[in-house]
Amino acid sequence: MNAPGYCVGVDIGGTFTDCAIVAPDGAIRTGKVPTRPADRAASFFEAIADAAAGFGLSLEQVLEQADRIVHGTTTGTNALITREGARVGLLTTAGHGDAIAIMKGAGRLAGLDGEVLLDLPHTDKPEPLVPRTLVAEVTERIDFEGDVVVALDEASAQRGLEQLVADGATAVTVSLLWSPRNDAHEQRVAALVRESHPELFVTAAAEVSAHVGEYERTMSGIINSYIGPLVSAYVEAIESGARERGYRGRIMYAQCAGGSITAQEAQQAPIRTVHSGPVMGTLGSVFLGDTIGEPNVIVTDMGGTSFDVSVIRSGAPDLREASVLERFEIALPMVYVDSIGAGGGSIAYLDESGGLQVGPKSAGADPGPACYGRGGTEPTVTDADVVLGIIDPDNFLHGAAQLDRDAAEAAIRRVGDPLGLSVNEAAAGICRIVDSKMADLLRRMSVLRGLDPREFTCFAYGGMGPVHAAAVAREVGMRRLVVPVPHIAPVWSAFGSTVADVVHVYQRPQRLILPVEASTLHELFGELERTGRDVLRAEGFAGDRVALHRSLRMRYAAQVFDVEVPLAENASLDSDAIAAAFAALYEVLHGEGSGHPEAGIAITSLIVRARGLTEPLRLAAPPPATDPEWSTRPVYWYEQGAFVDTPLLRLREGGLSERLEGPLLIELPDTVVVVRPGQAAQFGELGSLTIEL
Amino acid sequence: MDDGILRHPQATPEAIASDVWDGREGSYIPPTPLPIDPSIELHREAQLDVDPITYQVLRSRLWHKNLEHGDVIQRVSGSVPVVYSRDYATALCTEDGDVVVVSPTIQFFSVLADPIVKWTLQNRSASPGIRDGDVFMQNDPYIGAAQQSDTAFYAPIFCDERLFCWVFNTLHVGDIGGVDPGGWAVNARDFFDESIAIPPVKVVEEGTIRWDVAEAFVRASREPDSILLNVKSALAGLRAIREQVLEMVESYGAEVVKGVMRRAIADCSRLVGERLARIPDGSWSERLYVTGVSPGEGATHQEVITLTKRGDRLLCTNAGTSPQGGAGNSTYGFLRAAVVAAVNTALAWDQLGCAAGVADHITFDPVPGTRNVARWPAAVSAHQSTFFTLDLAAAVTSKMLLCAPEDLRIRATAGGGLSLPLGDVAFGLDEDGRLLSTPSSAGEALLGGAIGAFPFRDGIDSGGAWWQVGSTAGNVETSEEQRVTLILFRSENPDSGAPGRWRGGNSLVCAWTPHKVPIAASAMYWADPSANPVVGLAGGLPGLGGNFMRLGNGAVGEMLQGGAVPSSRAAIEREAGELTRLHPKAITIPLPPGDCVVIEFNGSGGYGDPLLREPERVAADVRDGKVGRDAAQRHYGVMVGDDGAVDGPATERRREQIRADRLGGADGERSGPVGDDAVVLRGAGGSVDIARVAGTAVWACAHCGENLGPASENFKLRARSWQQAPQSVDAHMYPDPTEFSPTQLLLRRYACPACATLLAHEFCLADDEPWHDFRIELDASPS
Repeated sequence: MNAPGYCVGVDIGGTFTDCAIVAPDGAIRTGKVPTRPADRAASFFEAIADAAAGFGLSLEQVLEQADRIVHGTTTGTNALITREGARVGLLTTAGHGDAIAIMKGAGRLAGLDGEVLLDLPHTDKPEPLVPRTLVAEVTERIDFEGDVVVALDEASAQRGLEQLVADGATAVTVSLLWSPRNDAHEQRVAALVRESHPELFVTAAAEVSAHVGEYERTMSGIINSYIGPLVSAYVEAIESGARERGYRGRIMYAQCAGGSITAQEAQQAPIRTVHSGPVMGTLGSVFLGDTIGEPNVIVTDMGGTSFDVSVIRSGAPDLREASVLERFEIALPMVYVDSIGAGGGSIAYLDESGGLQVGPKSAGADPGPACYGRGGTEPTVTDADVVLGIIDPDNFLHGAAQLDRDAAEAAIRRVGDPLGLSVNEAAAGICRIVDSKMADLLRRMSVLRGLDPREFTCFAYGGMGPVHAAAVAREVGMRRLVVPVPHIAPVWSAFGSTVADVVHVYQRPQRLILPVEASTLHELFGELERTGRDVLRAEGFAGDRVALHRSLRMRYAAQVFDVEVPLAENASLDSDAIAAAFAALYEVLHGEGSGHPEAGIAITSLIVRARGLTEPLRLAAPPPATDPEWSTRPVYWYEQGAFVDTPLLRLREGGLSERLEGPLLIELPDTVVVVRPGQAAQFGELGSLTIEL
Repeated sequence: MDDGILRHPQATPEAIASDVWDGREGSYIPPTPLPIDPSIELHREAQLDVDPITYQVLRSRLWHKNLEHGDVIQRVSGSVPVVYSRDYATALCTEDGDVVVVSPTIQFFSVLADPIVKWTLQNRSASPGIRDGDVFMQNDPYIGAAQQSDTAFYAPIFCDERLFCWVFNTLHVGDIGGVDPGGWAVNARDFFDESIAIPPVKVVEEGTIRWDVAEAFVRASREPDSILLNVKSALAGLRAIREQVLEMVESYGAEVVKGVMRRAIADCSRLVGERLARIPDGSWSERLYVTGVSPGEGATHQEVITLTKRGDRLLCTNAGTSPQGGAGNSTYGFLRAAVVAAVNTALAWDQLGCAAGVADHITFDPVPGTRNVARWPAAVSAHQSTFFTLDLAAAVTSKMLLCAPEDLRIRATAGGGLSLPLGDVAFGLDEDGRLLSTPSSAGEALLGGAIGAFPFRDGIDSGGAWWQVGSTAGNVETSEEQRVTLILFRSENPDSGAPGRWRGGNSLVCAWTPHKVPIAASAMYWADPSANPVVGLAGGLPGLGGNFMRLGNGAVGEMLQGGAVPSSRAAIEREAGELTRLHPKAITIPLPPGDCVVIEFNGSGGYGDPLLREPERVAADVRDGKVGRDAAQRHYGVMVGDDGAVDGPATERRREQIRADRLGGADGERSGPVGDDAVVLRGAGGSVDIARVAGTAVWACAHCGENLGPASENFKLRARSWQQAPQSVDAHMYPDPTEFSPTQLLLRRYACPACATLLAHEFCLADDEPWHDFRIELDASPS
């Protein structure tokens, strides 16, 4: 490889497009521009230009000198939310065309919060992505062992396809029963579609999801087709735009399984780019944790509307297979990020029995919190922070925006007065309630999964993360909080994509009951590993830059949930060893004595994660703070129930070397770090700020 | 007093005096005050004036803790009923058993927590005693269980050596013996033929599992492995929630946490009271008929629930229900649980499952020795009256809501969900003769459910059930992996949701054939054409009650071998041969390879006269395959052309014809319209308003205003009415009940004598009086 060049990470969100550029000497510059919904590719380059300016370079100059660009995009997610995707037709097994309408009988409530499940008249299924008229059935049947029961009638597939095309389908998903066990029929039908209608975007469901369970697999395939044409065109625009501007390297795309994929894969399996933004934030945290010696981390990201949590154990993010996307259940390997509607814009209100509630409804960006002065009158968490003196109305977003403290107070009084609370008490109450909700999610992601939060360090980023995390993490008993590299925290996901390895996940569903000959497993793993190696070699990774990780999905035979059991390198494939690894993990997750070995242990699939290792980044330590400004401001601390004149440190870049005692506010260009009474903060490696809780 | 302590007795003094309610001879009704051995000290101190912020934080946390309790159960059990059917529930109770929070899963399970805990306090506090670290289990329906398989596990939590609260869960554990495999003992003559029933017993004693007790329980089962797994999951859930409650007490103090519990009850009770007070006083009643409750028996039973509201209180009785007998009776505890659950959904949907606040408003007047308030030793495991009780509870609650202000009125819903219990359970034997069982046919297709129509919108196709929240019908592949069945099709069944101004949601139809299994059989339960619990509202039709069919001679196997997939009922009938209906209590039918069964699950009811539905909506349903052309014409009077568009003039003619047919050329007595400004309660009887004419409250057709007589009388007496064999109304929705029963059940229809708009439907026997189901007590003086 040539001398290393610039490394560029770009993360397109709904509101802003963020960029982080790491220079060959490890210096980092960031960029942030508004996302143009109609021309996201333009935003991509504008964000890079914004960050490049920090190095005194033009867009073209930085692209010419860059050797890696990794891009996280919400183009797919956004098309799904706004329902602007393709007109998808579905070809599926005869007799089962209704599976996507039935939604396992659970579609009325899937993805809804537990608190609204009893509100019967206001629950409904989501508008289908594929209307009934765009479903065609194919005569064929394969059974659970992959044996053909009824041969594929190609004429029926052709007829079905023509019907879909006549009805205006612009993309087609082929999803046949049991294709993870035998995909011959599915592949043949997909080939038929490609042959006779090369203009259509085609997805064979088992290629994007190897999950046994036709509903989730089919939905994964449908969403892939739904966002396919848009993502494909978008990737094309990025690729050609970058070439025109002189970029010679490869652009990689962030994917939800944690890592990146090539443009070709992003175009074929665009569903993998869904939710890649939050996942990149987690990967950035893995990198930072590795650098500063924190292998066990609970990662939190609080923005305007949502609070995302993920968990890193021994330096690896927790994964899951099943999730709900816009109320549709899907199954594909994803970094496990859970979220609730809690953010700066979360609205506080009184329910019918007079109780104070906060969220999940959000004031969004428009009208936004009352203090934005854009016509919002409902009190939000940000309004509460303004009233409490935590957010300075005169110095919001570098002082670029002026907030209206009176409007915030008036809004808070709407919920405070009926409860007989002063405006300060009500504002503190709103913060306590939202902090407590976030703490509930942290507990759910840790305690309930057998993890002790006291053994983890909390990372907090996102615009509101550093404001609230100290209270949230303390409530669940955590002892350390890290605000990662404060001046890049606001673009943390973009930064995270720069450190992402290339990752391919190969999953082979295979039902085996222990004991199984070790040689059988070796052989099955070997096949997956060969594929992984070949693909990575073709992508330019030499043998020493390839890492292969084996794991098994396993369960007690009487159960339906399986657990992914990672196997260490060179781990024995002996059945006793595998069973012991499974049993140990099971007890961690579900409690001592909860296992049930008498029922037998089954393997449900084999997984290989093939990782193409990127060149490790070496970040430069930030320079010491230039002109730190010290002052004080009255802040209302709910622990003390009173305003306290609180020290305020204003920093533009870099940190201080001394230990900083709370209560204290550290104002940074895009956020405020809150160090609560009794806590202490210290700038450390790479300029990260560690708070002892 | 606003202190969250329930002071109203559960039942009327007359009812309590009429029988023994000890949970042994009769169902259990806790006495007031509850006698508890003085050796146990209860933690009663509650700081009720906890600040509003702490209150909200802790109330929300109690809800989340209770959800997490369920998460643990689901993951550890991992059994199909627990994961897919969500056939479990969790609850948190005060020291004396009042239910502070229930999980959004099976609604009636957690409401049964309070009699169970109270019985335990009353009968186990002296011996063997209730101590820190104990876990009790119980599954006796006469104390509180829907059936024996629904086993409760519950633990006291102590603070400072005083009993602070209880954590509780119930799981459908699976087969625990009895005459019929599975736990639904259709063949039971009485309690002694059924699954093992255990009154409260310690399964964990001061932290140590009592394997003697656990093994005694598991020993009764045909599937001991999976029972044991479920027991472990129940205990794991309790362990997790116990630690977390103790942690809360540690951080906030016992009195604050208890204060939050009591205030949650008080707040919920106050809100339910306010909502009830906004509904006019009155009385609402529903009756269901069922013919034959045991195999080979054909007596006709009726089950009745009546709900009466005065001010902010409800009185519920089952008077009118037939005497107990045969299989599938249910107990008082279940009646109460079903009614509390229905009122909870109707009036406390936003109160985080605080069942005690709802129960605080309901008094019962149970008539014992009946199908739905059985006395020991009536057989109670077969889940028949239980489901009817849920249907009846929802129906009377919905009828009450119809006269409520609009924000509550929209919560009325026609019958649906899993109205008729169960479908079929497919099972087989492998080469070694070991039992292979699947959850039920076609991947728990029954649990697809269907939600009935509302007063402002259609029901929900395969939308589950109101009381079985979050259940799923799973995947076909998951079901087939159990290696008994090849599921030929699983589809939404057109016209299973009933016609109405708003259409009922459609349910599922599916078919399976044995696959790669030496011996297969299908066990049938209760889809009974002689019962129709899928009630319509306001003149909307009742929905499909369910239907089982079979095709023998290996015909479907031949189709498959010939390269065809039997992908619908019509395809099977067209290409393989005619289906034969199966007796609803045919129990176990061996199914040779190549044969198949087709199961249509119950649908849901419609709301309002289908002739009032916009033709365009009907045409859209026809295009989407939700409504057939025949039903569009027959019930909706909508003529849809081959292009899928409405033929306007033909539709108008067809609708005129239907109206004329309804009036049957009869020029009945008419009273004339009341005038729009006379209406005081719109839609109070669903299809009928209440108006005030000359100082008197009268019923009036909601469509044309026709005066239908004094509100103190039954409006049906002034309606044009006729009755038909149900199959003549719609042979698909109402299969001929006389095929399996000597009793001719009829569908009676009521229409406005002036405008012919349908007002109501009821299933009845030929000589029944019109069912008087709406009695609204409006002050007769002009307002």
